[in-house]
Amino acid sequence: MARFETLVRTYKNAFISVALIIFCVMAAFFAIIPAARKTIEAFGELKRMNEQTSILQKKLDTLQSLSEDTLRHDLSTVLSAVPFDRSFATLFETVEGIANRTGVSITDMSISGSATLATPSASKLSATDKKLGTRTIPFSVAVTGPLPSIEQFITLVPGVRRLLRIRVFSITFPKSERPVSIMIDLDGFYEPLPTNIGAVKATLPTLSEADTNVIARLVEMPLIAERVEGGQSLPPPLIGKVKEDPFAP
Amino acid sequence: MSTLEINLIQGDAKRFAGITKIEENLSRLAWILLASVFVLGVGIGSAYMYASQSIAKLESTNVALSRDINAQSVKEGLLLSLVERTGIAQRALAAAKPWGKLFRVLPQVAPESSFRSVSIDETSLVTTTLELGSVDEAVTVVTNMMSLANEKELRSPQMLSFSLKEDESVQMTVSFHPLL
Repeated sequence: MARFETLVRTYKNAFISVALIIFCVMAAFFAIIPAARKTIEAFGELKRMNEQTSILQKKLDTLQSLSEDTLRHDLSTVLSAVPFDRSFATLFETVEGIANRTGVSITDMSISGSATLATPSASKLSATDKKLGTRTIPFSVAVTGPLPSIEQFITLVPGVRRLLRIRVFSITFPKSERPVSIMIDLDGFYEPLPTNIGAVKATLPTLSEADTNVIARLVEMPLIAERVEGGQSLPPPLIGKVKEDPFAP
Repeated sequence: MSTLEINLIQGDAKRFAGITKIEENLSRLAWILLASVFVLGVGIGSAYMYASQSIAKLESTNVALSRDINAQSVKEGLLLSLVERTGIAQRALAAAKPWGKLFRVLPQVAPESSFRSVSIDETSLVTTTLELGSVDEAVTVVTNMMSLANEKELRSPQMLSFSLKEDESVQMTVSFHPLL
């Protein structure tokens, strides 16, 4: 024991130095390294938060720069072209309106396809719908009239704001004097509105130049069925609100 | 009378040669390490404090921004609906072919009075039946279709049927894809 005390007394400085070194090593392992790790994580989090803040700020700036009236008007225009439901009334009114404008007579008009009574969101997409990327209402129209009027009818159908697509048609020219009769298979387009807007942090989509051009093109198209004009058919926005009666239409 | 003091207890153990140098180095190393630990500790602590405070500040900013964005949810909904629907309208417009232009092509194929039927299928194939007064007129129709194909007005012209009647009139069915 006395020998040990003598040894400690002799190498006192060395012992203190070694103790300090051990302390420093322990501090590095148990304090500095974990703290550094935590700090790096905190800076990673800070970077993420900064990005998130910047996204949110940009989103808010964009939303504040938009005019709700303009958005409503533009959406109303686009909805008059592609409604949120089948809107058979506007479909028939549009076809009748085109017939009136072009001076042809509609002799028959029928809706084909199945699931016409299902709600728009419940109806399954057909192969054609999947290919087109939107839901369609297939229907047929039989029209008679002089050839120039039939020509005008065929020309006007894809050019009205309630967007229609001629899928198939067949013209029969009688041997005797005209009128000509034509059977046309058409598609009317519709698509339910989105029901949610996603997370607050979700990036806001922007209207591209192509989108703006489409809206401008739709505005120029004649609106035959008047009931869809002026946003009267625009449903109240459900997004962000809870319906009092979930069974109400 | 002076006294002589004799201490028989050994004060220090016998030191190994060169131990002083090692002690000095150990001491220097210990102080350097201690200073480093202190500096690193203070630096890391400060950085962590700064990061934590910044995160807390950003969190409160984000909460405020989220609240403001939620207040604009109607606008956001309108914009989302508009962007989505515009894309749909774009696809619908692309799918709708301007079939009216076909009526500019048909008179270039044959005179209007010779057409008996014109039909278009889902692949945009136009099939038309014509009644013509003579073989020469039928040849003219074929020539017209060939020249229209050369002018890129139509493609894949085909004669599907040809029948010559007793009165020398011709009934022929032709098909083509118009380039609208």
